[in-house]
Amino acid sequence: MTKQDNQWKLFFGAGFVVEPSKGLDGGEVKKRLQGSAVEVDTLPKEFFLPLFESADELPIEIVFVPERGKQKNEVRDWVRSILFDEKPKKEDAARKLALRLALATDQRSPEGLFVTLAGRKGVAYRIALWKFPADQTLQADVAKGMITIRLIEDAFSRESTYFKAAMLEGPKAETTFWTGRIEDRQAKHGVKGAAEFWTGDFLAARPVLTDAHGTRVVAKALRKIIDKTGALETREGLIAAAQVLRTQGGNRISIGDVAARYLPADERDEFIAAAGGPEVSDHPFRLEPEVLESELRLKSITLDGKFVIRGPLEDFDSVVSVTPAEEEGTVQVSLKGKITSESVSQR
Amino acid sequence: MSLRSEYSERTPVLKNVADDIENLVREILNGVPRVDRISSRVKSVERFLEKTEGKGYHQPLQDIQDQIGVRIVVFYRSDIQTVSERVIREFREVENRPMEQPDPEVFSYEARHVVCLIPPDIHSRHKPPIDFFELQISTLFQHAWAEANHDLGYKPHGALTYEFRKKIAWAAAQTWGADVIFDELWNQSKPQPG
Repeated sequence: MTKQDNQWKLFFGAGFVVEPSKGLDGGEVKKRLQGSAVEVDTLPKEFFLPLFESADELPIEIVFVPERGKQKNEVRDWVRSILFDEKPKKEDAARKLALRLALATDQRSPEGLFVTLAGRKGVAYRIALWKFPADQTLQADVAKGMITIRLIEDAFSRESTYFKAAMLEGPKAETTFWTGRIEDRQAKHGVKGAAEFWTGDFLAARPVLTDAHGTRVVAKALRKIIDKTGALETREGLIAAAQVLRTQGGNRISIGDVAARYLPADERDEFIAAAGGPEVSDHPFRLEPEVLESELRLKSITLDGKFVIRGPLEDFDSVVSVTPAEEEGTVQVSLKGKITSESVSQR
Repeated sequence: MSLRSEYSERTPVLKNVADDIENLVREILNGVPRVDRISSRVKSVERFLEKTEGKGYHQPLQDIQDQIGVRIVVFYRSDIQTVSERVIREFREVENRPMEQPDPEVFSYEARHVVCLIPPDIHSRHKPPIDFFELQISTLFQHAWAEANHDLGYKPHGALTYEFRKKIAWAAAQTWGADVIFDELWNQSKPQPG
């Protein structure tokens, strides 16, 4: 591999000033859309190149939604056009992306500068899309339909200040560029809260992890470490975590969240490894109560609101027996087994 | 490196991925009635090379999306939809379409094909060089026809006689008819709600 093959070489850039235009007439918005392709050599590379090179670290993986069951997606087509078509088509596709972003953005989001960059390294092609805040670090000037993007000399910070980003990468083939990575720095809840409009309305995509599969992965990983751990206290902590999760159905979460919020610190790494590793720990999904119930397979009985008997569903009925007691409305519960530990909490 | 050796080299990891996906499909469909069998396969080297010939694949190692195939065989045509909906809740699909002949007078292979993304946890565990696998959902009759056709008729068209091809098509028509009749009978005989 030559030195050139080891470095990203940018071959296309475009910038558009995107105003929030959701609900407005598409034709009018198109007329007002300001921006153009830019010569990549005129861009402030010291700012853009590091952003472009590190775009594969964006935390959330997404996949385009197919249209009518076919392997077709308009946004993916534009992405591929920017990467593989001739220059006029590249600019046209970048403009269509910018228009789509404007029409997906409502008044809650401020005006921004939408930048598209495409590059190649060996056989790999990459496209990165960003929405930057207007006039903070980057200055965009449009004259006679052409955009010029420069760094503001006295900008408070030249660190990457983008609001949102997306990156897609792959070789030139018919089936590549279905998946990509995104980040939403305006999201209220960190990586999990990537705005629906950035993922769904603008990119016509969704997270790679489905709600059902994300929930199944969490439940199976939890069961795996519950079954494995020998320490009763840890086991109790994990089972308690599983019980809490059962109340969280419908909530948007990630594997990393489950580890950080609900699990004992010592078990977090093992849990994440059992769930597929750090590469998948930031993917968002909604907990599905049905899947959680069927996979966790835990059963518990609470007596008088303070005594809890809890155990694996498959063994529960053979260990725990419940019979009516003399006093009406009460039951007698008995357990059969070996006492493996006993403790009294300290005051 | 030749296409043959490049594909051969990846088949062990594809096998591991196929096994994981098959197990996952078994879990997803656990308790779903009238599922006859679930199986998976990695496309053989010979079949992979056959498929690359004359079909205009510029990047066959990327673009052939059924390198891993998972087959679900159900009893009746109505079951295909039920099973399809169940598995689609679990996977992200990039294609989901019935494979059927557009010409109503032509009978041949039929099934539902769903091209899905390999789930990220399984991908991360095995790191296969592909992103997709194909789910093939068919009825017992469709499956039986496909297996026999594969055994007898999966040759270049020029190598088969007119009569041979006619008989294969006739068998496909019988398969279609049997599926339609059994599905109707099933819908008449199943317990009605209320």
